[in-house]
Amino acid sequence: MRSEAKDLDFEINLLPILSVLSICICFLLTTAVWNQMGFIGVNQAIGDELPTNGKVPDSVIFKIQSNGYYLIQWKRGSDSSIVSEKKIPTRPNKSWTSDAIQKEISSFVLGTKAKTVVVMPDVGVKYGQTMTLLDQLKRLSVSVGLAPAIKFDSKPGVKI
Amino acid sequence: MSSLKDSITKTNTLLGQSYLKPQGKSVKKRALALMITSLVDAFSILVIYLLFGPALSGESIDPNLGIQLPIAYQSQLSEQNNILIVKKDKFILNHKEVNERSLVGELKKSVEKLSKEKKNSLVIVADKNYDIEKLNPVLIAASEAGLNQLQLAVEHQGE
Repeated sequence: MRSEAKDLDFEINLLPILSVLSICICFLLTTAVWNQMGFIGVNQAIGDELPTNGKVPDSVIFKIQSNGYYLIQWKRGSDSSIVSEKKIPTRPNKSWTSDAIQKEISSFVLGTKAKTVVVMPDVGVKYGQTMTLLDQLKRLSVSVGLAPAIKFDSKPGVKI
Repeated sequence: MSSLKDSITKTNTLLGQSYLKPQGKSVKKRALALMITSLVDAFSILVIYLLFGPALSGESIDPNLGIQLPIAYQSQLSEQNNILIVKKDKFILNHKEVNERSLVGELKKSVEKLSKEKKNSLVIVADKNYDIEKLNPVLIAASEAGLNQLQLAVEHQGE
């Protein structure tokens, strides 16, 4: 009776289990992908669809220039005339901090009361640069459209 | 009074009996055994988290592709969608390489296929230093395929 009870009282050697788990953790830590992929939703800015009531709303166009500036234009919907425009740097410099750039963008866009903003990158502008602007615009809760990149100087219609 | 004292002593003895009543084995040996048990538990939880954690928290791209995504704070986490990776003039749509000419057709096919599963948007993945004009064929093809909403991939950073 006593020997049966002794047989049931066994011990599991935990040290090899611990070693295996340590190796597993090391392997998983080194191979894990920590960066989460997110996305910024944009509308296509290609096409000639007009609102059904015929009244074209005002729009704000952000031209990302390859020389490191945004040219922001407030265009009247009815005749595409430029109401006002502003040029601000894309990156912070001695006179522009990143907060000042963000503030300028938001004050311009919110001042126009436009619900749609179209982003037009110049040829040579990087994907990351465009994403930085889209990220800033998303904070303003406006609908953002992305147009294909064009060379501003060569096209007479979009010369700045 | 003495019975109360006895019961407290018994309870304490039960809680930490290996420390208070070594019963033949040394105190040090018992304490080490207990530490290893809790370590195994903690390690097991870590292994489970590392195995399933990244898979549960949204989409990720293959690090071997060498694509560095731009960082954005206002992004949403990606769901399962059509993923188009643009790298060095190559287009990889849902893990399958397609050329520029067949891009519209392939996009239409995958949009039709995934619209049944209510996943009819396109996620464009490109390196942060990639020239944006090289995405023009994608934008035009997506427009021709009837995709008016696009999702541009970024590295998600919570604010």
